[in-house]
Amino acid sequence: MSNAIEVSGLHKSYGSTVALDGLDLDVRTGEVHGFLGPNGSGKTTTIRILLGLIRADGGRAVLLGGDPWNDAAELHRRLAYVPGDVSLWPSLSGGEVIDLLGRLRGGLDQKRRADLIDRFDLDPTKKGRTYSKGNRQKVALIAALSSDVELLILDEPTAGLDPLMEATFRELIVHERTSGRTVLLASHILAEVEALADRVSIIREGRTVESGTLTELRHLTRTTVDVVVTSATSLDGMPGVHDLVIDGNRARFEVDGKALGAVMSHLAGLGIESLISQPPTLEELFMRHYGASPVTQDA
Amino acid sequence: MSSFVGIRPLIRLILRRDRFLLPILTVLPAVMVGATAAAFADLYPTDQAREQFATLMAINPGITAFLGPLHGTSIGALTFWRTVIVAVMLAALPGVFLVIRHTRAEEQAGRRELIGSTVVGRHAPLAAALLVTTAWSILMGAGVAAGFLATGQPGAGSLATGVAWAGLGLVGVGIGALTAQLFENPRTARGLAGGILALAYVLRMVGDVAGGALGGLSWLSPIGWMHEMRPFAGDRWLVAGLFIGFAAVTTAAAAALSTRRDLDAGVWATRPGPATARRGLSSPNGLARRLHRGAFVGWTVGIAAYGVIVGGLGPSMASVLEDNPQLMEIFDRIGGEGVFIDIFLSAGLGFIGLIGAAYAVQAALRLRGEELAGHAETVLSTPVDRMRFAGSHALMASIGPALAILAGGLAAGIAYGVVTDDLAAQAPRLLVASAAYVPAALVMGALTVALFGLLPRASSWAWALLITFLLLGQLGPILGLGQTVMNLSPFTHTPAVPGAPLRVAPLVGLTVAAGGLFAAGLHGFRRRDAAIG
Repeated sequence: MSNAIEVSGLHKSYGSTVALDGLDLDVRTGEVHGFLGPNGSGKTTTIRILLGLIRADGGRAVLLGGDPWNDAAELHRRLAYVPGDVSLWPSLSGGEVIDLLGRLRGGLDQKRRADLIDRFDLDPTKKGRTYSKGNRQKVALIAALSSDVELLILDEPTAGLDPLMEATFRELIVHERTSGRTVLLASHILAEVEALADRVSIIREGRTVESGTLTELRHLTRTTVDVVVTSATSLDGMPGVHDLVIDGNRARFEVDGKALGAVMSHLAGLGIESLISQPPTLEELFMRHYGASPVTQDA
Repeated sequence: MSSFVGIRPLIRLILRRDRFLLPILTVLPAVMVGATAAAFADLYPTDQAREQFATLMAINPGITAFLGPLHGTSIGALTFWRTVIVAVMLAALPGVFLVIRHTRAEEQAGRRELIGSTVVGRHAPLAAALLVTTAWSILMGAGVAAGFLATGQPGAGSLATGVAWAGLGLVGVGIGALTAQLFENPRTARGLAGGILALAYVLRMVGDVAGGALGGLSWLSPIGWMHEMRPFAGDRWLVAGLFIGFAAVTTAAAAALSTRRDLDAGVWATRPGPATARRGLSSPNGLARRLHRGAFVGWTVGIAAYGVIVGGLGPSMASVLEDNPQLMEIFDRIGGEGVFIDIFLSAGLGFIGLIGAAYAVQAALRLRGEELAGHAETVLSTPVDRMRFAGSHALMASIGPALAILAGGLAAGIAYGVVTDDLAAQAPRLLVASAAYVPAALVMGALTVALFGLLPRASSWAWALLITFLLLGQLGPILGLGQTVMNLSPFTHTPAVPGAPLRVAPLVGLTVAAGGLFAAGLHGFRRRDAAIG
């Protein structure tokens, strides 16, 4: 089996509100998959369907080869989940919650538990009600990471963590990937996804708008080029060149991924004095799908 | 006055949130007392009939114990006396719940923090909650007075009744305001407030039955104050000062506490817990046991204490019988003073059953609480299926109340046995008798689970159902409601043992009904979406 998660055409409505409108998502076994989308785009709804907490109205969802709704408890032996808003029992200590969740998942690695508590700098004796948001998140992360599971489903796991802990989190996820675990990482912290994810899916209003490796996605979008040549006028009208601004012998423009080769050969003939080229950041990729960037307006 | 800045929008917020609840809570008491007065006028139309009824009530300390002393024989006096227990349910309890709902519950939900960051003075949220609930108490009291006037009762007595009801409402508000300051968890605050009201009821009961030196205990109880206002039988207006004084002291203490503690904190700091979980905390049942532990201890201790009082008072019933040759003669014919005492003990056990049912509702509602808090999501994302999760709490909502009721029966039996020097026989006898009150409590817990599974948003209507059944039991016979209506309440079907003969069939029926409701609820939960936290 090569896919840990296979979702196609998923639909879910709450009354007249459409939460998922034909969402697709494929997560390959062993990869870290970034699941991107703005607030309210359907990330959490998708995850809740995958966990069998809610039932899809239509479409197909396969989790670890099983049916998320009917085989929920059986499938949950093989995964661990960290919710976006971790809510702990007010009267239980963090250590108790870690142990409880670990035991419910079928046991946890004591050495790893101790190591993680140390690395995340968590006081496990504090009661649930006294933890800050970040510390509640750490409790859920430690419980998830010290369980022996195939799949980690993380819903904005670093939302409350400070930069230091965020770095620790990244190291740990890299480690998880090397040890062969699959990770579904829902997030809108793009730098984090860019650093960790093998492939990403971008969703908007309950639908998948883009999916693939970062390289593939970059290929679909434009590179920014800032170049100084002897004469730039011939660039005007070239296929694939957009938003051209010529300022003497300096030119700035954006170029389609597919036309990049042709444009570069053309530039070489114009006598390049300096050239700066920037591949699109994930942020630009992301923005392109939400109408916030001018690039889409004339595309 | 800057600490009260922003109080107007806060008041409007409370009125908006409770736009249905507040009118219902204001009008319901008036309807109840009006209907009761009309029913009494029908049942006992003549002075002679009412005097006969009053004599019968006065010589029965069982009645005095559970309903309080009857002063006067007019329709107004009878109605007031019979509805004091209703006032505890419809004035004191709502006062407690409303004020905690708008103070501590808001704070725990994190909304108080959001409000506090806007232009809102330090005292404004508490003051807004107190103003609205005080206004509710006064309006509700005015409604009760109007209800009496509408049925043709004298003006002064009607007004005194209204004052007494409003007073008890204010007492509830004061207790709620105070306990809301003490604990971080609104559930604990409600529990303590309920315990204080139960204590008030018990103090009045002991004071009224034991008399003599202990008679003064009734004056320590706000419920006793209601009786002491004596509407339609002297109208002792000065007693109203006790309600006002109590409300003033408790709300002032609440305000003082609220300025001395941090947001989200109780008065006592949270102690650290263990760094690792004990072996028992490794399954849904282990978790449920842990989460229900505190409530179990609280309810069981409270019910057992009440059982001790009921059992301890038993023998004093006999002395009353001896003072009354007429009554003695009646009871001699049907089995002697033992039967008389048993009727009293049955009423006590019946009350224990009702408290047990309230505990069952609260414990079963924990399921909905766990779901809304997002804890259900956490548990259900592990290899725990819906049945095991919901079943673990349903189990606690069954075993807990059952054990609490049995503990109450055993406590009553031990107390009664010690006082009558017949421990070996009485303790097991009352323990077994109390078991008859368990099935009805199970039905209430099961009904709550059924609502949770099938109509999750209506889960807390379980409380409304419980109150309806309690009112049915209190006022149904007086209002002349037919047996069909009375049969809707599970408590109607419980045989009043040991005072009445044991009938097994209804108990089996109740148990089967509880099983069916549990199954329906669990099945419904297995099929529906889990709520988003």
